[in-house]
Amino acid sequence: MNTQDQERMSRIRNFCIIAHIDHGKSTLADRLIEKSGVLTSREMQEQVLDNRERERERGITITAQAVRLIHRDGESGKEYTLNLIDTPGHVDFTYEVSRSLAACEGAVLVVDAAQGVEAQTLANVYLALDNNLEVFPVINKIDLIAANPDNAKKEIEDIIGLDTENAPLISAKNDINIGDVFKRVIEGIPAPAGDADAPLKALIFDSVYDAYKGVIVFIRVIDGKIRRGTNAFFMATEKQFDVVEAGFFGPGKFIPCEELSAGDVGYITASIKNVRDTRIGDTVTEFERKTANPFPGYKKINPMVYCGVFPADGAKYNDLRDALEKLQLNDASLQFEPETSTALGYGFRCGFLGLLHLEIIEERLEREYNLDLITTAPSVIYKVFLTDGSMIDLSNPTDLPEVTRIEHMEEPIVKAEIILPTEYIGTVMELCQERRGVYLGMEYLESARAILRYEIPLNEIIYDFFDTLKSRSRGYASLDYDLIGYQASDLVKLDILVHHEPVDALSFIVFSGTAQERGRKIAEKLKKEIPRHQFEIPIQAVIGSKVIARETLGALRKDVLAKCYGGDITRKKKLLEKQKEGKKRMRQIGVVEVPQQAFMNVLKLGEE
Amino acid sequence: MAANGAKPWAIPAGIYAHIPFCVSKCAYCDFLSFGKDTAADAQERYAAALCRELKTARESFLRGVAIDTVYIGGGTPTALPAPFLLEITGEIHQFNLTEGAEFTVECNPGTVDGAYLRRLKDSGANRLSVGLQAAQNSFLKILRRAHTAEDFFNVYEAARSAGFGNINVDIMFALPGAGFDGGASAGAYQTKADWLETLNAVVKRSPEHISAYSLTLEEGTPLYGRVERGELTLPGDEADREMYALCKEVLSAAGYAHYEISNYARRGYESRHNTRYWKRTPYFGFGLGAHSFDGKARWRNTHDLSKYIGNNLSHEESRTGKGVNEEVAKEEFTPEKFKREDYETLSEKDAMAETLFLGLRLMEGVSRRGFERVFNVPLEDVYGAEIRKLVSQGLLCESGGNIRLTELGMDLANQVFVRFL
Repeated sequence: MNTQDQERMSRIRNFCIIAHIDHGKSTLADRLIEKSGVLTSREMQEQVLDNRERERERGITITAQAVRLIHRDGESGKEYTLNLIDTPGHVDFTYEVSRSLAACEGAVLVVDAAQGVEAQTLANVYLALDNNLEVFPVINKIDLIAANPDNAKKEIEDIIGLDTENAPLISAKNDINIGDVFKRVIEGIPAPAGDADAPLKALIFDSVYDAYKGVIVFIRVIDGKIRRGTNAFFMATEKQFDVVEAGFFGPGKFIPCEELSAGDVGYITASIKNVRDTRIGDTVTEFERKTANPFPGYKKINPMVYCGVFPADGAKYNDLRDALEKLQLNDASLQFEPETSTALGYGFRCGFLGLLHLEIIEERLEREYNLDLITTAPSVIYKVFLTDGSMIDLSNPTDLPEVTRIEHMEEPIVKAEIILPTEYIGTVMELCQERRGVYLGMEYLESARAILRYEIPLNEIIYDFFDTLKSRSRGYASLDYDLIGYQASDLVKLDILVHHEPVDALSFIVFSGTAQERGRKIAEKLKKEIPRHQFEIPIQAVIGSKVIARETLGALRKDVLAKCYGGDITRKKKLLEKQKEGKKRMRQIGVVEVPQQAFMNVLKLGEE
Repeated sequence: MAANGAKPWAIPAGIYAHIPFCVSKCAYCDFLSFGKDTAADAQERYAAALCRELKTARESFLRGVAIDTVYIGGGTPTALPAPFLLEITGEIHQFNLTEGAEFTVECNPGTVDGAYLRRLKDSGANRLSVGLQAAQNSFLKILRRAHTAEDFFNVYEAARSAGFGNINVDIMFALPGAGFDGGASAGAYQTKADWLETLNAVVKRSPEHISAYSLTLEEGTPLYGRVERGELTLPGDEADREMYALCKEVLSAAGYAHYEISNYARRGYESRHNTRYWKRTPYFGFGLGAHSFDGKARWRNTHDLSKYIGNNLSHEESRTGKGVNEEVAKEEFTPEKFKREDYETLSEKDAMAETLFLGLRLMEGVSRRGFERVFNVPLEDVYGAEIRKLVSQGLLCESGGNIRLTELGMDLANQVFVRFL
């Protein structure tokens, strides 16, 4: 390798920022971008990394993106290229995080001076350490009244075991000590190793679909060089493409360049039509001169949570399909296939990485594609072992075979880590027990906080666990979980009958021990959601032919407007129109009209 | 020919005049009215503004139009001192009233005495509508009515003595009480026995007309708040309907015809003014927030009292018009410029829907021939499917070419009405 390449590589730092939601990752990223002199404040687009509307609102970043910063060191006058690779901050995207981390040499751990270390932070720091990253902590929000930097440092040392002696104390929001962060990045994070003359070896850490350029593949070059015309070979998918363009990530835009070489972070395009050909974790090499040491290859990410997604207006079915197809272009982990429901009509069974992923997709469909949706109860994938020795993966409760054909069923189990103030240990342990959790252990992190470990069935987690955890701990507990395997369990299918008609959209698989309680709650809730009709309506929860809960909605006895004062007919008409509007948003279940909202509301049982 | 080019209506129209003042606000009322807290001269200035509005209309778009019903409502018209109210009735008498026109004034017990009523009668009012609501003082208290049952009986007798030969009494059922599920004792919500007592007290005095409404809880009223907070309990819908049925039975046995969902009358004494609302004949509203319908469009007056009175005018100016440029004053009260808010010209579809959902409130129902005469299209072509469905549900029935609500349909009238929107 020539000295020019060596000099170039010595001035590159590839790093990411690890932070819990709200601890200030995006704000710090903005500040670094602004300070790097690439953009003036005026040009600075707020929250550059979080450029999607919905991510901004939640304050979290969904998919990895990257930005190249040009930083001139004040002391040496040297110009450094800093590649900041953003990582998703949520448990649903663990694999994507690990690949982003693999593209870096170091990580900045941002900890809120008032909040301390949280469960997801911990999980991501461990991921970073597993990837041999140099991690250094930064204490943010030091200007808050509630800030306790010493305590935050102590937690970092006690819980994670990182040295905090040189940790910058900053306020990203108010621009305090940001220079220290640059200094630590340059001094504390190693320059990339690698050989620019060796055969091409680059890691795919993300990709996005662009209508003009095709798939834009985000890569970190480890060895060798890649440029326009390179005959690239994706080793896991075994696809071959001629590179059309190579470039860097400017803040908010792509900057084409001559070539990317060892140590660089950038993108390539190659008229790739399908995002599925560019798997995160795959190795890009040259077809004629392949690297001998590819990455382990991509891990196929399977959806963990499924639910039915239906257009509120049946005529929008095609719009929904188009929207899902478009979203899938950028999100290979989103799966969907057509589904028909007697209650909800035509829609799609969709698979998601987790509940957050589900919510994100749902919100994007509603906002970006202006669709009004009805989603059914989320379901995990059960393994159903049949008496004939075969096994099926069940993601839709309505597909459950006859009970007589089932030998046994298994459900996914996760290992959950909950970090919480010690005063909530009792109530949270109670919650975990209620949700069939198996206690694994507990450690005190410092005097006031602890980490609880449980094995819990995933189907309990997706049933309102997170909201309940938050409400019982007044928002202080944080949760992280990992799928650890499947386990045989006594599961039953709970059906809901409205006026003796089964409502397929409300069927779900539940642990037999909690079926009655669950059935009773749903029946009670449904009773409140369905308007009275001219006749009495029984609402039943059943397992097979056995009724385990029943509510009776009495007949409508009175629905008449009283007097009309002084000839105010307009007001009367408005009231009737409002009533009629309500009728439009009804779904017909046999002879009963059920408001669309009811399908979602009964599933949000919550703690009332 | 009126100045603005409008032709006098071929059929007589009605006049409604709104008096937005009360002695005190009832707990269930969400209507436009003001209590004692308004400015001392507000009532006087209001009466003057109302008279001016009436006069302007009479001299412009209502010039020469025959008026066969007048209704002064509120609020409580008799909360006005007699001279102000008489100024208004006097102004209305300047209109082209038909022979035997119905002229109703609403009043509440505790606001009038024999002398007031005699002056009202002498001013041309020939029908009195008196609010009783309930025969038990415990319920009147909960409703925050400013009178007792005894006050009502006294006023009723005084009205007869004053010569009112056509009296309506307003009563209400499904009233809330403070809590437990019990008998007729004070504190519990209204029972059938309480309601029967009210009905009998009214029937005994033999008014010509009775309006019997189920209490509607309007959001934002004190009563609504108390029920929401659990301080008061309402009888359920089941009890409500039993009281409704009881009302029909008792009043029909006493010789009253049930002619509208909530109204009963001796033969020939049906409220001609209120029937306009259901039959969609023209009426013109005057005063704050008053509603009008000219056969094609609906509109209302401003809800803003100071805007209505004209805060820029002193009382003397607004009463006499002195000091104000006559043309400006007139312009200000030109319906198009000043008072018409929410002006809505009804589409054919709106008009058809109204014909059904208003007409069906009357027990005589909606006539197929009448509908076709007005709209030049058979009722069947427009609403055939809806009518058949509602008949099959037992909500509508048909006889003699008229579509009518069934007994069940009266209980669930909205379920019927929404089908025609």
